Amino acid sequence: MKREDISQAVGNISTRHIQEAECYSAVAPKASFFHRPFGRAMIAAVLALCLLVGGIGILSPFGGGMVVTAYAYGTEEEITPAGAVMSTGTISDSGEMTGHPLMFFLAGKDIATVRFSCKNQMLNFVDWTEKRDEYGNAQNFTVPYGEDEDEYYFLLIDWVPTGTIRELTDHADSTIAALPEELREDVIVMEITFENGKTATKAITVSLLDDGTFFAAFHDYNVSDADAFVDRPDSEAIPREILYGAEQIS
Amino acid sequence: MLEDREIIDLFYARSEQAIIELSEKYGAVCRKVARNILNNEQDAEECVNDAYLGAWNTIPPQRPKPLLTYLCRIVRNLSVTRYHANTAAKRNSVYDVALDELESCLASPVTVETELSAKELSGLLDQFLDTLDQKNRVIFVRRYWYSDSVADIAARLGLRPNHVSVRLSRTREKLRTYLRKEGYTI
Repeated sequence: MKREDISQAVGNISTRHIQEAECYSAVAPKASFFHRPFGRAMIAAVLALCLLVGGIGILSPFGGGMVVTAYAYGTEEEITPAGAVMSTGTISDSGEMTGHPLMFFLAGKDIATVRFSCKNQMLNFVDWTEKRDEYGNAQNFTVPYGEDEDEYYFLLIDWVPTGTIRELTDHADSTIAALPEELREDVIVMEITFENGKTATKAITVSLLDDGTFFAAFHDYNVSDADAFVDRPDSEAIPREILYGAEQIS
Repeated sequence: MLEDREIIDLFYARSEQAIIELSEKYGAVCRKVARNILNNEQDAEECVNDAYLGAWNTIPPQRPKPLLTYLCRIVRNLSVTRYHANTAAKRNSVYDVALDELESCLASPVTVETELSAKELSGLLDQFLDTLDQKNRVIFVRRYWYSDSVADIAARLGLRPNHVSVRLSRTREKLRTYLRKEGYTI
């Protein structure tokens, strides 16, 4: 498609989209409530309730209300406990990959850190805000999330089935259907610590299907003695001078 | 400042005051759209004036609603036409950069059978935009229709420029995926 055609196509989009973009403005935070007597009374009541609920919460062994969800990068579809076939990447019997089979980000509130542990394959971690350490070909690492929830959207975890690709590429007679279980199944454990000190453990399990697509599900997880991979030490971060140095190789 | 309806009534009455009111109310937005594309103050001003003339020639019989979008569309069309006609223009406007981004997303080798026409792509873009959440949709349209700079969009939406860039990058990737799903090779 020629440059002129693209320009023309964009120029002819619907009026409602153009008008929406012209009229849209960011929602300003409402502060006036806090200055009203009624607002102050409400805040006091809510604080009292929070103290009560918080007290109960501290005594509770579970992180009630600490909700974390995972979304697939590219489609931004939620990865649910029921699971779904990822539409963002595939692999063939010859080991040829298309796209990213499982690239995701987390959403939630008040996440302090997340420790990622990948059992069989490799993870890349990219921080598009460029504030945090990043990791490549790593299996265990810890990411500080922080109080700005807007930034969670930009913290991407890219699961790369390196072992599977190598096996299929190096052995011409190998097929997906004949791969051993450890090259078809994987789990990414996420040990989440919230700002209030509570913790939760989640996992994404991923399976390679016979047709070269990947099935992933996000759910609660209990780390057991059998999960030795979680105890591996954290990988080294990619040195920032390599990522953001002035003399990058283009 | 007059309501759109009142300005249109002036056009219908063939009063030149219509142009003055139009310029006062929407001149700044129109000039920005033209400047983004042309990167030249004088060209932009001429395109905006031509757009006023275009409005004069088409109202009546038309009674556009919303008036601003109607006017901006004329400005954009005139500016893009001038941009393409001006062969000596250096590729340094915000429009160029925005178009480069989209071109790298959409313009790869295609077969004749699967190549999209501009009209088809417009329809698909509309459908695709409906799949986005409002903020990402607004960012996309501000960037590729209004040719706003990333910094301008960030200021308008209260986001950091870096975040706008990332959102745009993701939306372009989603667009590629969407077009593929619709059966087009890009």
